[in-house]
Amino acid sequence: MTLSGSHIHRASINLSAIRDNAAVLVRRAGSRVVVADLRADAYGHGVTAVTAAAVDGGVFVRDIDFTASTGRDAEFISAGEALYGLCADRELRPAMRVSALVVGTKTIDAGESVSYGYTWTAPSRTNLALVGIGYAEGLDRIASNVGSLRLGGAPRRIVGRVAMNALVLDLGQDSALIGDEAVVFGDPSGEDPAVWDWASSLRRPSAEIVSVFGSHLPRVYR
Amino acid sequence: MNTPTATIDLAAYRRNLARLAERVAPAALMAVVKADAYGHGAVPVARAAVAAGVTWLGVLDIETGLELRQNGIPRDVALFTWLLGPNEDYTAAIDAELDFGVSTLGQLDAIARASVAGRARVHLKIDTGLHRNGASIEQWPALVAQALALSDRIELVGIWTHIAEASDDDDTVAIKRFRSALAIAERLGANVTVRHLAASAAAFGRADARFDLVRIGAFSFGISPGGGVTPSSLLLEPVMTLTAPVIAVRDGLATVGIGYGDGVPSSAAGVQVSLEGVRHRVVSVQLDQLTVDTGEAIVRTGETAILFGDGTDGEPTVQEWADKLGTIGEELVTRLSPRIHRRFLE
Ligand SMILES: Cc1ncc(COP(=O)(O)O)c(C=O)c1O
Repeated sequence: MTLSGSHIHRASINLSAIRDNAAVLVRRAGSRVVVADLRADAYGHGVTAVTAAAVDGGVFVRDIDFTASTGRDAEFISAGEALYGLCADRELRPAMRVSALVVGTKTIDAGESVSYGYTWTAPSRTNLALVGIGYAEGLDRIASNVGSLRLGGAPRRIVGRVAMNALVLDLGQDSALIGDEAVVFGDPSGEDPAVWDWASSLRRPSAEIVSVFGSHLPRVYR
Repeated sequence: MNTPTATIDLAAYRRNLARLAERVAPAALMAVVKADAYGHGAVPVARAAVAAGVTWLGVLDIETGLELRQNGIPRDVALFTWLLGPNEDYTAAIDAELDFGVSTLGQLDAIARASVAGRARVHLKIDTGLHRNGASIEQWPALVAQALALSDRIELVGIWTHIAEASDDDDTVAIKRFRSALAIAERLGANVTVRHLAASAAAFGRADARFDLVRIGAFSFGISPGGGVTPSSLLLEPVMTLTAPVIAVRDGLATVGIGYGDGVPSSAAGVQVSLEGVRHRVVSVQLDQLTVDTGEAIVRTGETAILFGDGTDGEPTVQEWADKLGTIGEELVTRLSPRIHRRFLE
């Protein structure tokens, strides 16, 4: 998939993180051979791009020449979650960042409700941001009224049900502009939330989160 | 079949559309094909809808609208977009004769600026309580007035809203608000021919929600709202059957080659799948496979497991999965990876 002209949502993939993670895993493996786990389209990161980055970092990929190039007696270890940076480990970096843009803003009064089924009602007058990402892009519906996205320097709670292609964030007295970016997760060494926190708040494996987002969102490589 | 496959029964889809069109008449029916036709495949589904006589398609975004035009959806079929980002290429969209669901003055002006050669088709959206997009009642007169002032570049085709379906009473309130917004627009001089409010449930259930056009997604794919309402109770047929091969059998457990990396929720332990007409329980879901407890049954590698289908061979429906997982069928079908093979039955 290519990035749509409208840039409403994206999974941005940091290939240097994959290369660096690969190098860390190779160093830690000593004499053992590290093999990239490329299932599920490289956990949603895109198998072609990931293969090149992982090989760059010294990791092996299973292909026809595999046994010849690694030697018959080698001991193998598979690199999956660690390669994509899905575990909290000071030496590893998450490769995927998921974000979407604010496509609408609105202020509602106390007592007014939001989204299907009116499952959330504003306790007081508040500002809302409509963000262009939903369960069809992989943002689980169980995040309704539970999960948060980072927007304008703070975590903002999803209020009301996550819809197929949109969700609403509660900003309280703060405000946002159309075009502002809301981040689901990214690199927690900066300001972004961590994928493992997002995953555990939904009781899902991080590998599932990135695989599902990565298969539905336009991917951008950096 | 030795690979995970979503089989899409386009004949069932056309039958659903025919039943729904009959039910909502004299209102017209928009077939909603956003999100890759709810995971069913936007281009083949759109073509099937057009073959069934549908003249409105709900595409959500400009990208999908352009894709459908490039794939031969004729220009006398209106393609309705309403998720409009801050950086849209309206020139291409107007060239492709897409319809725009507009909520703000900013969107209206961006469309008018791009509309040099002809008139862009616009439907103004009023917020009647859902509080996603749509103009508030305070913003509404200015939005309508601006659309009318730009009438050399903008054709005001429709006025619309989207409702919460929280309860019948809440929907009644939304319908009232919609009527007031229509009245305000009329007083300002608007003369729209296409008023639309209802999606599947309200279109099916309420004559007073239908107006001139209804926008139907879920029901056209045979996905019912759950909570005891089955597709068959609505005389609708599930369109998608999801299958995957048995890739290993051992100690009363079968391994089926589809997993959470393909979009089957990792929380699906406990749901059932069907093998040779017999249901078995899913024990666990991994990245690219599921483990199924087959007990004493004789199961062979290479057999095809049905995860969900139309239920006629005893297999679960997507509704059963959704009820069990505490979600809705729409999430299960849209979650499936685009890498899963789609097989279309005419
Ligand atoms: C504006 C709008 N209209 C219609 C629909 C179709 O809804 P349903 O699938 O319930 O028919 C949707 C989908 O959520 C929508 O966003």
